[in-house]
Amino acid sequence: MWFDLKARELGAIRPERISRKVASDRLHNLELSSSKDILSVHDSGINSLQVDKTEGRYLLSGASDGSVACYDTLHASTFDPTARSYQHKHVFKVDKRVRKGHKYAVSSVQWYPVDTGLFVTGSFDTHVNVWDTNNLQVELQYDMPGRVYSVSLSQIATSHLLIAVGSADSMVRLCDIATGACTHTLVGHRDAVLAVQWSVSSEWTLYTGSCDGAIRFWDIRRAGSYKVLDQDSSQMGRRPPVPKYSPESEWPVTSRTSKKLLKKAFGDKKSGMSTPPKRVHPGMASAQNYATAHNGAVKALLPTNDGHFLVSAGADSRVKLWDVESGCDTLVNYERMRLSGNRATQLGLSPDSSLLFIPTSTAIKVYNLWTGLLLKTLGGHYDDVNCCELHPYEQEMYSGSSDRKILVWSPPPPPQIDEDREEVCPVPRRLIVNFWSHMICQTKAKGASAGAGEFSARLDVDSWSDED
Amino acid sequence: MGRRQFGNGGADGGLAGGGTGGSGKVRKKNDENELGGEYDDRNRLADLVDSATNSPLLTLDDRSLAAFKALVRRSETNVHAAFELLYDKLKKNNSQVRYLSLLLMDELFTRSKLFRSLLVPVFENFLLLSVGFRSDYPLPPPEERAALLRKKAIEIVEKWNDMYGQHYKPLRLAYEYLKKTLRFEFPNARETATLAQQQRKERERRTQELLKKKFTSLKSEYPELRAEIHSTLEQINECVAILAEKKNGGDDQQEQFGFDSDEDEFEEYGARNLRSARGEVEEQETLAYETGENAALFDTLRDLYRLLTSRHLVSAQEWLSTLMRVDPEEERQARDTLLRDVIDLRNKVVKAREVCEGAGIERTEGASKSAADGDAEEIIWEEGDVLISNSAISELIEASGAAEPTEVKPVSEPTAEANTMELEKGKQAVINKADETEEDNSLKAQLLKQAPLLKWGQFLERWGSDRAIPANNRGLEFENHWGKVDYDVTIPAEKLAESSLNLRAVYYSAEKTEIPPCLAPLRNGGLCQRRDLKRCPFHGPIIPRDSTGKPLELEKPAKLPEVSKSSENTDELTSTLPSEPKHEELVQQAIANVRQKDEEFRKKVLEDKKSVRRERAKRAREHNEACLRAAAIGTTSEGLAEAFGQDVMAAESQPKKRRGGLAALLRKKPTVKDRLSRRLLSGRVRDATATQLARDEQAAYRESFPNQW
Repeated sequence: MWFDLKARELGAIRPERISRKVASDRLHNLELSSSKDILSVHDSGINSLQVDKTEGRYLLSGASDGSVACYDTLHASTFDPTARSYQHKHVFKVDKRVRKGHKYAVSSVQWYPVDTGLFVTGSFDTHVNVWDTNNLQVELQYDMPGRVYSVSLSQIATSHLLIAVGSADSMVRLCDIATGACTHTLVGHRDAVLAVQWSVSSEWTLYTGSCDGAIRFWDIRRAGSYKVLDQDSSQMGRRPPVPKYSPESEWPVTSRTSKKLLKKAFGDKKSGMSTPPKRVHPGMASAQNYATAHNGAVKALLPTNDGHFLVSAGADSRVKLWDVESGCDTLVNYERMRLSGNRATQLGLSPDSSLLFIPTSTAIKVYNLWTGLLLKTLGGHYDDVNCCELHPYEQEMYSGSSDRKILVWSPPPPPQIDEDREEVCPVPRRLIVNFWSHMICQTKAKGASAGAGEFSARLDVDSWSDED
Repeated sequence: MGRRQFGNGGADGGLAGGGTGGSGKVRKKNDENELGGEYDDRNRLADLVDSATNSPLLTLDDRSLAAFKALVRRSETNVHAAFELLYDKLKKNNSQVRYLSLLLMDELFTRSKLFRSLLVPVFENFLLLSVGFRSDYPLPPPEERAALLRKKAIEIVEKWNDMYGQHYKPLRLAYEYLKKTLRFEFPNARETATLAQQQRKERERRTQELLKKKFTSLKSEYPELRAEIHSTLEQINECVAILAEKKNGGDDQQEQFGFDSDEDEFEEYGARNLRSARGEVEEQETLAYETGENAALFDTLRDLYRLLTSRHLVSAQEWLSTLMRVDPEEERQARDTLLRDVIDLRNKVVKAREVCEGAGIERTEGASKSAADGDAEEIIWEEGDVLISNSAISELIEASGAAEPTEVKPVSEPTAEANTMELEKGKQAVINKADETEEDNSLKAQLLKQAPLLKWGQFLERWGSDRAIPANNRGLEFENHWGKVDYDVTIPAEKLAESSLNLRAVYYSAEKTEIPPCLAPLRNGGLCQRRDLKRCPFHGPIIPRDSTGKPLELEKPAKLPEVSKSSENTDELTSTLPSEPKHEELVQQAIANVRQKDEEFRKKVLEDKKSVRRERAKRAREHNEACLRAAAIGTTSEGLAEAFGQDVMAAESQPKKRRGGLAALLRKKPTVKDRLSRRLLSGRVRDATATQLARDEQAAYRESFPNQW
């Protein structure tokens, strides 16, 4: 680091490079934060977390008991001197006691992308609620035909304000906050939709992943999905030339079966069939495309920050990196991966899109996104980890688990200086050792059933008694 | 070599308990052969861990534990090695091995920082292996050890969290997870300890407060109370002094006989109290037979004594205890002076009591005397009132006349219960009575004459007693089975008065009457000895009979018309008849007669009906015969022979028909048919036969149902 600073002084390297390097170093060294605690107010497991992108300050959490809480990640409310950690208490909490509040588990939370005045929650009670942060009331409520697994708001949209909702129903619905009604119903999936993500490059593009293993790309201005990711197509090769307008080329379909169907649909003049071909709506053509991206439910989708790639996690314990443009699998192998269960999870991606955080059973695994190397396993939860969320601007990660904890993962604190150590331990060590050995002697004399003395907090030092 | 060193290590470990020298030596030795040491250490550690975890015991062997610790302490590599070995042991598929390795881990965890830093990153796995908190990773057998392992592990986790939780976040998280999410029950040793301590302190504080309050009140009240006690003491002293003077007077008389020489001793002792006590003793002996003003003096002394023992001494003791226990922060001086004073006072009181007791006044005597004083007697009198009916008392008074109090006393002396017992048991009372005086005897006899003889019951058990009785409030024989038992619970007397214990229960019992025998004459010449209430199953209703068994029919014809009246005239009848059984017999007789008459009437009616029916049948038969005869003449146009034989047949059939009637006719019919068929059984005349048969059938039909065509 000092070399880099020197080089920076000399002008050998660019200023942003050093900051990137520092940030990357910090991200690579994430560990369980010892100085920052978020005191979860939920009485059950945490299903979803999100830090607002506008300020990067408020962490929203949705839990299985139907409650939603918000934490200030910037300012601690109290300092716990015994654990020497800053404790972040919740700013607010809403649960089923609020009118129209969620009755069952909240599966997904999302801040309004423009400011923190609104947030959207989806719940297993088949409702999607739009909350007003200031008076903590439900402003809008959408009724879905089944459990809501995922809600998404486009971060870059300027011309629309649609909540994409994936639910137990096979149709993806788009709900307009402006009108308070459901505007689109996207038909194509054949099973519940667990993952819904807006593209970060195009405000009209939506990615959805379903329990039938399909990942579909939708252009919401057109009918039907325009792309179905196929796990078999991995040869990126040359990019196909941009074709002239034609109905076929407008809906590029990759699978052979659907090509045949299309052929049939549009009529094969060469074959000279007497019966007039049944004309299928061009949007519906892709509905016949049964290509799958995973051999199981698609649990999570996450586009990279530049919008060129899409990470998907499936119940077949595979995480795949897709090239958005071609719809091909990049075949990056994320090693020693284990995902299970047909439930939506939330993946984390570092702001520079270099590290992928995947919650596996009780740990979070950190991979290099591009190589698939397992860099680290972050263990600290004692139950299944459901979600992880990276702070958009700082090198910090938050993870929510079924053990009702929200853990903060941060780079290790700077090494303590000697003066501090002196302050911590003003008594000479020898004396302490003697004292403890004395205590141990006493407790031994008393017998196995020790009094309160045995349970007093101790310094984290070796405490061998002389008799050992 | 490893073996030998192991032996040394063990010996060192054993010595280590004595002092620090042993471990120092070990370290030195380790420095000497550092190169091969690590490998050997690891082997030895493995040996130690193996031997320690292979035992079936629940505790670790002290010697091997000490050796193990000493070995681990030597270097960081040893800590690493120990951690690996123990962790491997913890993975073994046996809860006992896991348990022992957990104990070893606890030993190292609380000592070595390195060990902690090694264990904490794998803490989740550690918990999985020791607590087994996830259902898909259950603890291995044996089960009871598994339970023990879990309990111990939870205990250890709590301990570690208390000790090092602030430094290791995973520890803290694990503890919170186990406690809050999985809701494991932690022993909560620290909290319970602190809680107990707090409670103790609180209790102490409260008692101290109370004591202080008492102390302040005592401080303010003390002069008064002291004066009071002093005045009592003064009075006692005066009384004793007067008695002593009197005694001296007596002594003068005795001295004339040259009897006593105690005067010198009084002078020698000089202690006034003691002297007076001695004097009192003498006094008591001499004054016991005296009456008059001496008695008054003794009475006051007795009163004073009672006051002294029941109030002053008790309060003095109480003050003493409060003063001794109270912890005065500022008023130590005041407390001390007060304490000294109270001790003084108490000693004085005790002395005075001794003096009084020396004078022969004792608590028991005082009680008996006071009982004899009169008020107690009155109470017993009242009880007597309840006991004996008013008339009895008045009689008694009349009988005994002027000697009333002396006579009553013996009655009132035994307790009320004893009295009732005597009354009930009667004979015993007589025996008791015999022991007593003449007057008493007569009185008791009179009382006994008056007393009703009652069946023993609970109401007699506590007749007239005012005592409360202990209540059996648990309803079960088992001690403490359903909870706390209060043995001192009693039912107060006034409640008892209302309750069923004081009520006399009377049960209905039928009077025994002899059932008379049937006495009907039997074939063998005897009389029926069956005893039935109303009706003998063999000889009918039981009626009065004479010695030979003949029923006594008393005025049977005369009574029959009177049956309707009998209910009205029962009184007259009973008065006229010589005895009650006779009357009953008569009534029975009358009933029997009526029944007989009814029976006869019924029979007659039946017979009439029968005869009418018979006549009707006869007429019908005659009519049938006439019809048949006519038919037979009309249909039998076949042969003359038959026509001639008709009369004979008719003459013959006459008696038959009379005998058998219609049924006989029907029975006869087939024979005719057979005869005809036999005669006409030829092919030639089949047609004719058919027509004839048809005709015959028609005839038969006519014959069989003569009155239907």
